Amino acid sequence: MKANGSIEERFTRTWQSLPGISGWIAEVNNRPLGLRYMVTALAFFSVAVVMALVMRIQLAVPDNTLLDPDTYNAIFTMHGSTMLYLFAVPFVEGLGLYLIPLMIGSRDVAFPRLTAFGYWMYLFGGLVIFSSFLFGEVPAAGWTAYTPLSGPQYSGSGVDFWLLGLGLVEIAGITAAIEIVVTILKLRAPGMALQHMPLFAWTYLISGFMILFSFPVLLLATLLLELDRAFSFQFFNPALGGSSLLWQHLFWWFGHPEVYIIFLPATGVVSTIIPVFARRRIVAYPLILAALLIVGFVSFGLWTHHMFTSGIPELPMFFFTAASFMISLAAGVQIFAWIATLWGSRPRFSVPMLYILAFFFIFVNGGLTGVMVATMPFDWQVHDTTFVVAHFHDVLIGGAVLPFLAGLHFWLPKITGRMGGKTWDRVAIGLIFIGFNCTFMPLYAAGLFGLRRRVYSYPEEMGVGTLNLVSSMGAGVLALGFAVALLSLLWHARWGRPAQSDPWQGGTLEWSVTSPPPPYGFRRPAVVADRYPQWLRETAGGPATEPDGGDDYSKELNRVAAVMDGRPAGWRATLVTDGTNGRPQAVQSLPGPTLLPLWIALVLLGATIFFLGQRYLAAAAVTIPALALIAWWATQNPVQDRQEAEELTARLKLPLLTSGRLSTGWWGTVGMLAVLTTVFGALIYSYFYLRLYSDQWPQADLPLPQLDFAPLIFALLAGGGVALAFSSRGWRRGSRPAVLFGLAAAIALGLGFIAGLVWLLLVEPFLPSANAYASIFFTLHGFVLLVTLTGISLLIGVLIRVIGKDEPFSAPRLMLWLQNSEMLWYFAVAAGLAGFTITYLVPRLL
Amino acid sequence: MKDVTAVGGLSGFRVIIGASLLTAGALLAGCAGERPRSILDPVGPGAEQIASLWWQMLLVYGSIFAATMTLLVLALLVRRREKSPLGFRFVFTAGVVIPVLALVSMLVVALKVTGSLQGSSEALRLEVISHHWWFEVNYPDHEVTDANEIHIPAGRQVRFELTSAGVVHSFWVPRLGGKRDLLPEHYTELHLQADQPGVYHGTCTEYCAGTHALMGFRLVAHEAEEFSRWLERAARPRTAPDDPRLKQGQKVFMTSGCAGCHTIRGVARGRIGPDLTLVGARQTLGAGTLENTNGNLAGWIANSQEIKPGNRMPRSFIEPQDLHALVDYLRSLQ
Repeated sequence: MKANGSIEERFTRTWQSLPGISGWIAEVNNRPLGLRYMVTALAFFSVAVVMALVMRIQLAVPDNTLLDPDTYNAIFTMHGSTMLYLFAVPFVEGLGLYLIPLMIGSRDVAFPRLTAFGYWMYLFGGLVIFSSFLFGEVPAAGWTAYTPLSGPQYSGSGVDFWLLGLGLVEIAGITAAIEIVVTILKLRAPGMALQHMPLFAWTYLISGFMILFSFPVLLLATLLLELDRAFSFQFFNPALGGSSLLWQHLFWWFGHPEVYIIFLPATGVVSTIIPVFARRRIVAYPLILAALLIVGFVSFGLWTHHMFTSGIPELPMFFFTAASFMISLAAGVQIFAWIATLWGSRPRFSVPMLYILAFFFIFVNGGLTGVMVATMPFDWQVHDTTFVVAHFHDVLIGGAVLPFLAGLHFWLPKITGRMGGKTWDRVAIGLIFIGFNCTFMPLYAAGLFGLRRRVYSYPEEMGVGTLNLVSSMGAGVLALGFAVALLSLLWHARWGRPAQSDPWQGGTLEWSVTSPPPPYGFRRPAVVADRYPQWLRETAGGPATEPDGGDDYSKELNRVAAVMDGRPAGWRATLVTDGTNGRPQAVQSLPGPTLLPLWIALVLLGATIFFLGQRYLAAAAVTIPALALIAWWATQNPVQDRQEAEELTARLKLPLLTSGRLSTGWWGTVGMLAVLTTVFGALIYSYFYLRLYSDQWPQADLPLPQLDFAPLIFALLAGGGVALAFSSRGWRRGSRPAVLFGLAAAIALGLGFIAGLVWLLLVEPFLPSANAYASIFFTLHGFVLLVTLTGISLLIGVLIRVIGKDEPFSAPRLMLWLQNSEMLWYFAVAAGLAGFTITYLVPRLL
Repeated sequence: MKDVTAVGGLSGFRVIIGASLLTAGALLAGCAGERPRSILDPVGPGAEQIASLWWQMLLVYGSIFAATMTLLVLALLVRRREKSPLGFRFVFTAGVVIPVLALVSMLVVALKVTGSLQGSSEALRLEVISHHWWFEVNYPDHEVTDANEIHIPAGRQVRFELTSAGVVHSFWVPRLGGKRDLLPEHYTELHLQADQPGVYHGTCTEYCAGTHALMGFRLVAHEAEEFSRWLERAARPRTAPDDPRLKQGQKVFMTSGCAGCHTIRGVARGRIGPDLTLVGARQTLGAGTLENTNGNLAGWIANSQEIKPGNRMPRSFIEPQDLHALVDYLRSLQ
């Protein structure tokens, strides 16, 4: 809004981070936050490596008494949990948050405040889990927390720290996924059609979708287990109709995609680095893309291969062996595409390239032993032995950590403006390679000789003492290698040789900006016509490029880019483009620095702490300010300089305030609904799973829910949906009274439904703690209750807005509010009706 | 910006490959020797089939690994050219066609192995119930209950009916066959057969917290006749001991609280700890943790928490003479 200063100065000031500590806390820009994610993740990684060293020291000799069983059990639980929940996925997210906008030509991600919120949730969740050390109640149920071992009867409060901290971290993961998916779909550079998108971005897009359909199931599972533990629900208690296998199914439905969520972006890093050092375009891009998509889908069809020994009928389980083989094919295709790209290229053996070579050796080894372990009868022998431990470290360290290290070294110049090292990093790679193989190859053999995993010691008579000693020595070398690599990165980040913007002659867009990038990323949006826009730019000799569609199209794209050069100067914004062909559609406002995400995260942390301290009412009460803050957040309008807005609209001929498919907010709501659908789907699955394995349903002679008033009460909910449809129609016809009436009626009917549903639940002659049937009955309806309450809150907000503000009906923000609240409401109606059908009608019909 | 030359980097790479092969060599060298829990030392048809499957997989996948690494090294060594001579066809052949052939054939082999591991209806039935850190064993047709040691006839298939009294555990005798989980909600089944008589190690193989590492058992396979004799002997009614020392020992057992947790058929009925009717003849104590000797038994009774921390048996405060008598008595229970 400042009139003083040139447009350029205003533009830079708009995007500048605020100074000082409050500025650091209020940060919403993707690059500082992505860096923060990565640094935090690497800190957790280091702690977990130390834990691994302690474990390996204990296991170096047979019958060792350095650690007692309980300490060892706590350490391996924390090692696995830290690596998988607090390092691997957050690091992937941090790398993506930093690089994706740069690579696709966007100035920021779609929801900057959500990014900040996600980071705080991640940090707080990790701290909650580690705070268990302070109370001497460290979780010791493994990173998989099988029930009933992790239930109230067999585990202490360490598992509560684990469950609640993990819940916060899961929420961070889910919000990051929504960010990344919407950013990649809607905020790409003009002309960047899907087929021009770098493979790195594709891996993140697919991983993002995978997170949306897998993480919510873990979130639900941890919620159900915490309900068992805190409120005596019986989901996982076989004595009262629950099932231990239900946890395993829910967990591994998440757990298997989780490892591909970590692995796919790592392959994206490899697919980025190899072409640069081979100085060639990647070979067989379409085949690689097909492979990535297959991995994304098929990874959801593998989960039972973690349960081969659980007594499930063998022939159906064999299907999961076949599916696991199929996914290994998809992974394998990429290997050969990379080899083809390297063939005869005489690549530069830079540090990132050497990491990639180490990756080839270790990962292919791990992939092949993975095929072995996926072979069901063989798994019956090696399941829960160190053979499996060696396999998954092969694929996780080889297949993920090594590419991450390669990526850190590769992008260090871009992130810090300084080049990485050469000598010490090569030493590190050698140490890591030798150390890794010395650590884990002996464990394959030890597993074949019967050494189990998760044991604090083993007897001498087993004959695996030498193997373990070699393994422990290797672990020391490996840890040293990691230390040297990370320290070298840190040192060179501060004191390395200054780097230009494109030290490697990379082909993708991030190399077109300065090192480090300016706070706005791209002053002028890049116009893209190729997978390697930087290389095309170099050969063409100028910024103008020829995207698909011929001359006029390219002129139009360049015209839009020219208008957006350093604009808008008064507020943060980036171009929105079509999801498939990259045609500019709108300009999306983005928020500047704010403390709001921290406040909301602190409130949720407060609720978590109260819950851990068993002050449940206080925990529930604390969520009210959280909801209030979210509601306030939603009432805020983006601040746009009116004069500049009019000028830009006229010149660009694109809307600056949007609704519907042109608006990132709309897509964000769709993403959230995908998450909620996944949670509800998992609840329905749990209902039918428990029913399938019960002799009678409802269990223990509990009565079926009475049909007297229930249909009427659920009809109120459906009626709310009808009222909203009426309101929509009224809005389309410009009839304000119709809109007001429809909204008010929907709210009233919704409140009536809430009251009725609460009454229905209270009137049941049993409590949720009676048995598993009771637990799932209450939880299904409880979910509907919460979603409907949220829907009503949003509608109240819209109603107040329609009454209070003098907005024209065509105002895009009003439209967006109406659309998003409607979508959530229709979901609530669908969920409510499904819940009613499943709990009231299906038991009577089937 | 100078990088290491291609040759320099490659020779470094070769050194690293060589070092890792040496490590692999160490692995192979580790194959020799006596190993009581090795799946590569099978004594039953189940374990034999799976071991054979392992060697086939090692051959097939090892070859694929070698071939892939060779291609990678070649890719880095062949003469420089502008564009890659390899394209879609190479990637498809090497990445899809050949692996499909290998994988489908291994799938067929694995399916055959799975089929051959099916149980027969002629199998001898045994029930195993897992508890926190010990195994209860029941011979249903003979009303014999034991703990942490299983006796079967060699050369005959046994069907283990498995369940858990608490958390999820797993039942595994590596030299006989694969493992199966013991679940608290329903029974699972495992078929095993020992081809030769002998004593085989078994363990719990699903993390169950605490001393999961010390939860194991012995499986003793007898010649057919010897097994019948063992079963008869185990099932016979127990009489009170004549020897005054053993009588004294039994008295100590009844008055020191042992009978509250442990069953001795005809003497005491305790439902919490392992059945001790046959404890004297067992090879191990504490679920495969210690050798069954007088000294170890005395130590276990005195303070098993030192040996297996967290197990459900509290330490005892029995006078030394009484402890000796108790040990003699328990060792006489065979």
